[in-house]
Amino acid sequence: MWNIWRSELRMTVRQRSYYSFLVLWVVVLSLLFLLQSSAPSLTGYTNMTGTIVNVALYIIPLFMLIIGSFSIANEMESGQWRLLSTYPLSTISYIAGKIGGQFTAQAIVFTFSYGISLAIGLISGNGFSGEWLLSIYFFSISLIFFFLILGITVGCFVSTRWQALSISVIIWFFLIMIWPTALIGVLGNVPYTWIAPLMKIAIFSNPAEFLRVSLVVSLDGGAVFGQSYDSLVTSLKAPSAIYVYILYGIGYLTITVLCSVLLLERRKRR
Amino acid sequence: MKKKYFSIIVLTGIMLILAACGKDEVKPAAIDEATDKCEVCNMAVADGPDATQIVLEDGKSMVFDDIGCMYAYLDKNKDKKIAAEFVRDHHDKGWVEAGDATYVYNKSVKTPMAYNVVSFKDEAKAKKFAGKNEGSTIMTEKELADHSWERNKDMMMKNKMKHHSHSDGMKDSEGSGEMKDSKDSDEMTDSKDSGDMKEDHDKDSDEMKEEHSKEDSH
Amino acid sequence: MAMKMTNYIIIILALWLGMPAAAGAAGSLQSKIDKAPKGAVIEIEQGVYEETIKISKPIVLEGKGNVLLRSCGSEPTVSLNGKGVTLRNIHVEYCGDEGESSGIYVSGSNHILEGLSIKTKRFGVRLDNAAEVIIRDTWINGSKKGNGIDLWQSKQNSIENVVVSNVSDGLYLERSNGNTLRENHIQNSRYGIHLMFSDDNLLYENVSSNNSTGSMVMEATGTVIKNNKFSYNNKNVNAQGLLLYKAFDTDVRGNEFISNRVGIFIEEAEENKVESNKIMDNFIGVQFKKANGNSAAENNFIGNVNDAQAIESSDNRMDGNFWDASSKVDANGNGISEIAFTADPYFLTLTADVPEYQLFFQSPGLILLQNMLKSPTDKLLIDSAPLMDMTMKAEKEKSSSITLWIMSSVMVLTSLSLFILGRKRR
Repeated sequence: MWNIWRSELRMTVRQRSYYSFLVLWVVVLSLLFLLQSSAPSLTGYTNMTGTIVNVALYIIPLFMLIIGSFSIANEMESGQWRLLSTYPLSTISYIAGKIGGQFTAQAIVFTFSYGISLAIGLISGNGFSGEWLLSIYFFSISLIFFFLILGITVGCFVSTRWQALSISVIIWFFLIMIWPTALIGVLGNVPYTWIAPLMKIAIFSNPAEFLRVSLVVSLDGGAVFGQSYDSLVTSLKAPSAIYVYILYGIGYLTITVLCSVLLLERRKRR
Repeated sequence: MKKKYFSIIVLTGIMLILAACGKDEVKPAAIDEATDKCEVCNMAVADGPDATQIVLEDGKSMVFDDIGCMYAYLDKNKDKKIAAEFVRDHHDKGWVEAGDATYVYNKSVKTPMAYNVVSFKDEAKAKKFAGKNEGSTIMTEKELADHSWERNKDMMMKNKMKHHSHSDGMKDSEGSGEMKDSKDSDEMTDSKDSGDMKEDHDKDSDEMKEEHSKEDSH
Repeated sequence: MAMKMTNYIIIILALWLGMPAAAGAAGSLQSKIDKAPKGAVIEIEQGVYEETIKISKPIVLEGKGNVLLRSCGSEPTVSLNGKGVTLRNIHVEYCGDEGESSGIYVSGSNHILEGLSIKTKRFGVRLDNAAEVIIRDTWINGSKKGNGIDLWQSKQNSIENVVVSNVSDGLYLERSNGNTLRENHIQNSRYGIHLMFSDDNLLYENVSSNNSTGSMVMEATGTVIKNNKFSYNNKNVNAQGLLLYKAFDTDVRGNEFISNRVGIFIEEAEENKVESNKIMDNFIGVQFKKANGNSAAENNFIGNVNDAQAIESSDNRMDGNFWDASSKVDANGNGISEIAFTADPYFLTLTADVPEYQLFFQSPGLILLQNMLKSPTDKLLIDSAPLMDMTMKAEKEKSSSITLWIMSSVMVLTSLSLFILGRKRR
C-alpha cells in the first residue's frame, strides 16, 4: 500500500498537468483574494464568502473527479493495471494507495497555492480574518478529499479515459449544477410531510451539499436554512459535531472504497 | 428473477403502509416556542392557550399565535385545502378541533394579537368564564365566522382616516359589528350581576394571570 | 459609551455579589413610607429588605449604599401609584413566579426611576396606564419569562440608558403612544424592542443585539427609528434586525443593521421610509412581503449575502442605494451607475410554499436555476440609480498580518517540503 502511495505521489508530482494545477489554483485564489480587497467587509458569511464558496464548488469537484478517475483509467488503458494485478497486491491496498497518493499530491498543491495566494493578497495590502481563511481552506481540502475518492470509484468502472471524463462531468453536473433543480422536481411529487426528511437525507447523500451546509453552519449562518433544519444545525454546531464529520468521512470512504474494490475484483476475475 | 418479484412486493407493501399512515386522522403538531412563528403576523408562538393551528391536506401544518390570525389566514387563503383547524382550551391548553370548541369574546381579555377571543373545550367552562368576565360574548365556531375581529377601535379609526389599505379585521362592515353587539346582550343573561363580579374576579384572577391573559384594569 | 456601559454593569454585578446576605431589616420600610409626609426624602440604610412596598404619594425613596428590596410573593416588589414618586439607587429582586407580576409596578404619572438594578423571574418594570414616567440608568436582568419594561396603555414616558438582558421582550409597548426610548441596550432576549398597536413612539440610539429579533414594530403608525444599532440578531431561525409588520409611516433612518439573518423585513406595511441606513453582512439585507408604497433609498448595502428580495410587493421606491456587489458603470461622472440594480425574488417565491427549500440558500445549483428562470421584470426590485461609492464607512475584522504571514509561510513550507519528499523519494 505504501509503495503504491509513494509511487502515485511521485508520479503525480512529476506530471506536467500537476504544475498547471498549481498555476490554476494560484491564479483563481489570488483573484478571489484580490477581489476581496474591493469588498469593504469580510466577517463571517458575507457575499464574498458566498462567491468564493461557489467558485470552489464549481471547480474543485470537477477537477478532482477527473483527476481521480484518470489516475485509475490511465493505468487501465496503458495496461499497467493488468501488470500490477499479477503482483501479490490486494485490491484494497491498491485503492488505498491510489487515494492516499493522489490526495497527498492534490492537498500539497492546493495548500501551496493557498499559501502563495495569501501572501500575494497580503503584499497587496489586504486584511483577512484568520478564522475565515481556515474555514475556506478546510472546506476546499474536504471537497478535494470527497470528490477525489468519488473520482477513483468512477475510474474503477470505466475502461477508457474518454469514458472517465464523460462520467466525471455527468456526476459533477448532477451533484453541483442541477442538484437543487432535480430535488425540487422530485420532491414536488411527494407528500408535503416527506419533504423535510428527504431533504435531510439528500444533504448527507451529496458531499458537496454536506460540506456547504457545514461551512455555513461553522460561519454561524445556520439560521438561514429555516425552521426545518434547526435541530440539524444545532447538532452540527455542537462541539460533538466533530464526531459527525469524522463518522461521515469514514462512512463515505468505506462505501466508495468498497464499491471500488468490488468493481476491480470483478474485473480481475474477467 | 424471484428476487426481483420479492423486492417489488416489499416495495409496494412499504408504499401501502406509508400511504395508510398518510390517511390517518389529522393530528396537530406540538408547538416549538424556539422556532415556531405565526404564519400571519410573524410573532413567535407561545406554547399557551392562545396558539392555534391549521393542517393542510398535504400535511403541512401552520401555527398562529392568536385565533384572529388564523381567521385572517383563512380569509386570505380560501383556495387552500384544509384538513383540520385546531384551537386550544383556555384552561388545560389541550388541542380541540375548531368546530368542537366554544369561543368567548371579551374586549378585556388579552390575547397576543389583541383579537380578544379565547377558546374552550366545553361549553360549560366557556359560560363560566363569560359569567365571570363582564362584557363577554359566547360564540360557536359558526358565529365566530361572522365575528368582526374588531380590535383596538381608535387605531382602526385612525388608519381608516388615513385611507390605508389596512383592512385586517375589517372585512365585515361596521353594521354587522353592531348587530353582534346587540346579540351580545342576549347572551349576557349568563353573566352574573356586577355585585358578584369583584369576588369572582379575584377567584379567577389567579388562573387568568397564569394563563397570560389579564383584565383590563379600568 | 460602550465603555461606560460595561463599567456600569461590572459595578452593578460587583454590588450584587458583594452584598451582605442577611443584613437586618431595620423596621418595616412600608411603615416609614406611610409615616412620611408628601415631598419627603426617605433614605434607606444599607441592607436587604424582604418586603413589598406600595407608594402612592409624591416622595423620594433613595438607597444609601447597597439596598436590596426582595420579595417572592404574588405582588410586585414595589408598586407606584399616584404622581411624582422618585426611586433612586435601589436593587430590586422579584423572585416569585406569579405570571404577570414584576419587580416594579408603575401606574399614575410623573414618576422617576433612576439608578436601579432589577433582577426578576417575571417582568422587570410594568407600566400600566402610566404617563410621563422617566426610567433611566437602570439595569434589568430577567429569566426569559417576562418583559424587561412592559408598557400597557402608557403615554409620553421616557426610557433612557437602560440595559436589559435575558428577558422575553426587552422593551414592550402595547397601546402606548408617544414614548421615547433612547440609548437602551437590549441583548440575549426574544425581541429587543417590541411595539404593538402603539403610535408615534421614538427610538433613538438604542442597541439591540443577539436577540431573536432586534426590533418588532407591529400595527403601529408614525414610529421614528433613528441611529439605532441592530446587530447579530441571527441565531433564531426567524431572526431579523427589524420587522415592520402592518406598520405605517415609520421613519427608519441612520441605523446600522449588521450580521442579522434578515436586516429589515417589511410585511404588509405601507408608506414607510427606510433611508440612509447601513445594512451590512446580513444574509438577506432587505426583504419585502406584500408591502407596497414604501421607500428604501440612499442606504448602503455592504457584504450582504443576498441584498434584497421582494414578493407580492409593488411601488416600493428603491433608488440611490449603494450595492457593493453589483456591477457599476458611471459614464457621465455623476456618481450614479448607469446599470440598474435588480433583485430577483426567485428564492423567496420558491421558499414561500415550501420553506424546506431554504436549504438551497446561495447553493450554486440554485443560482444557476435562478438565472435560467429569470423572473419577469415587473416582479423584480429595481434600483434605477444605484450609487457608485459608499457613503458610509465599514470596518473589516482583520487578524494581525503577522499571524497571516505565519499561516501563509507554514502552508507554503509544509507543502513544499512534502512535495520535495514525495518527488525525491527513491
